[in-house]
Amino acid sequence: MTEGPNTPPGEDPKHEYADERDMDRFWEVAQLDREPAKQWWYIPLILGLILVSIPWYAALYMKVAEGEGLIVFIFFDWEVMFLGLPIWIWIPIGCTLGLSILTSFAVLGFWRDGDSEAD
Amino acid sequence: MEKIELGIAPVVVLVLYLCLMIGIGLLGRAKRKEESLSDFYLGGSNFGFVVLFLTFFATQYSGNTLLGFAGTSYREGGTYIVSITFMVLAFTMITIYAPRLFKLARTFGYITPADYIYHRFGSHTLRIVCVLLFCWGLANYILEQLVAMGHAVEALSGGRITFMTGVLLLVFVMLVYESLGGMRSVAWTDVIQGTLLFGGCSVILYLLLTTEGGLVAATETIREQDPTKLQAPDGAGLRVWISRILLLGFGVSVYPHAIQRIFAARNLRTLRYSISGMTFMPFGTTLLAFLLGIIAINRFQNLSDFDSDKVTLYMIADIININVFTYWLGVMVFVALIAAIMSTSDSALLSIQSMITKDIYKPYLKRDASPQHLLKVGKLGGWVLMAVLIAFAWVSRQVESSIWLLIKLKLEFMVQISPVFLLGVYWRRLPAGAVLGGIFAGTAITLTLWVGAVVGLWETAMRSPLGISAGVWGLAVNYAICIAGGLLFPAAAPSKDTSAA
Repeated sequence: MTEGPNTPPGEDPKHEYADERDMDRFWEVAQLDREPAKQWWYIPLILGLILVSIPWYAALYMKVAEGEGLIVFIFFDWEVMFLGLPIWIWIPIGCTLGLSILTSFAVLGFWRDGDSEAD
Repeated sequence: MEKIELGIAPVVVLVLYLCLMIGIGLLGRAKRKEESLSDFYLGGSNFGFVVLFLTFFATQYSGNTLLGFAGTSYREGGTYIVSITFMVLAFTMITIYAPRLFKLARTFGYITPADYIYHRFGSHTLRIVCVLLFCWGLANYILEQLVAMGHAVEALSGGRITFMTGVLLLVFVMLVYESLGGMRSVAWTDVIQGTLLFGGCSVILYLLLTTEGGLVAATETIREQDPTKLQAPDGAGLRVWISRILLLGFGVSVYPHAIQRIFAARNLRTLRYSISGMTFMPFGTTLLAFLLGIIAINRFQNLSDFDSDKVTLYMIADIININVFTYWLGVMVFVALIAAIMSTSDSALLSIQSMITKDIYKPYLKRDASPQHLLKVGKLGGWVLMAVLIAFAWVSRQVESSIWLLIKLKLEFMVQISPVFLLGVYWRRLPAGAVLGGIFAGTAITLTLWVGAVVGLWETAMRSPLGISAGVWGLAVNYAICIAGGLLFPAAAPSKDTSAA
């Protein structure tokens, strides 16, 4: 199997994929030293932030406020304004910022592979 | 709405900008290392951080971000804050599969996403189906940009340049610089275009802070006059919200031109920093477009869907006559808008060209084609495709339609490819048959639901049952088939087949 661009010295650096299929080699190459998706906390945190970013709790509050008998304790009026926007809009903004920070943290800290680091 | 009058100066700026683009195209051609597909379509896989980040940025944020997103915020109000979430989520999803895909691409010399697809699954049918879905989505994406191009040039020139003349002029320049230098020219023009887009967004921020009391004053008035625009979504609204997160989060993450930028990184470090930076960019672009749309609710009442996609232009028109400074700020936003549109179109076009030549023409029509021949076919194909799309843009000019409808049509189908990447790089047991069955089922369901909406079977917000997007229904069935297929009919144990298929 010839190697692709930026491969170690001695191997063909100009190789372009031409329908070869060595699947042992494929799965061997597909292993990394560290990758974000393999960190146990990464996917659960993503899901958690997405879940909180969806304002389902504001819809529940509205139901309670309308007296539909839903037995849920929600102590906050999510439509209170803060800096020009209702609170329920600030929460997705905050969660999305959290998602950005999480993704960036995972990418910079937990995506490592010795072979691919160098120019 | 009244016509925007900016005088002749913006036309001069536009001509200078287009000359600069052609100059960069010539430079890209002069800097080419060899006549190879890798050099033309991936710039020799040698982009450093600045170029890679700005080409990601300019490609990901299109004219639709500044026009369509602001328009949707205007029409739907606060619930469209979901737009920042799905734009960040798209890059979060990329971090799931990109680490392995980058290493595979670097090792085996992938040029197109379909190189990975064939290598991983060994199915000609799957490769062709994926390329067709990619090309369908990208062609639709370009069409959307052409429509935006025409509107932007017409507005910038105060009507001196007509819609179709604007489209023809910009497409011609784009094809010239792209044919000259391929990905290298596209990425270098993206650096200029991305920088202009940054500038344009800064002006939008200025607008938000200074226009008649800014956001606070605007939302106070909205709460009095049209409080529904700032109300939290109800059950139906939540389903639309979730649909958008899934559809765009998964769909945007598998844009083939974004995947090819992963292949084009010089090394892992530049790719990591570029992706990391991109996760924050929705706050400087999408969020601003959202806020602009909210303020526009207060400024412009009862715009049609078609006109609401131009609220960004109308907001700019309001400031240009204040003083010389605001006039040039307005001109800058227009040029930034055109830059954003061109940068997205050229990347999508280059991606289509690469897939048509590398994944269809070479393996199935002319196996012994030389790289030079393939490059010629790709360039010719690009010119022909653009001619067809310009004709479609002309037709769309005759029929008013919201940009948002066009976006849905492309993503609903393209998102069906996501299991190929998100499951394919991790799960050895996933067989080609299951992936193919999932894609067929997902696409068929999506299409059926759309037809159902056309004949009036359901008239929900997302034009599908329960108000959940047709593409999401299709995607759910698609993943279910993939997972069931992988469990019940696992792929055969790895074996060597080094002959070119």
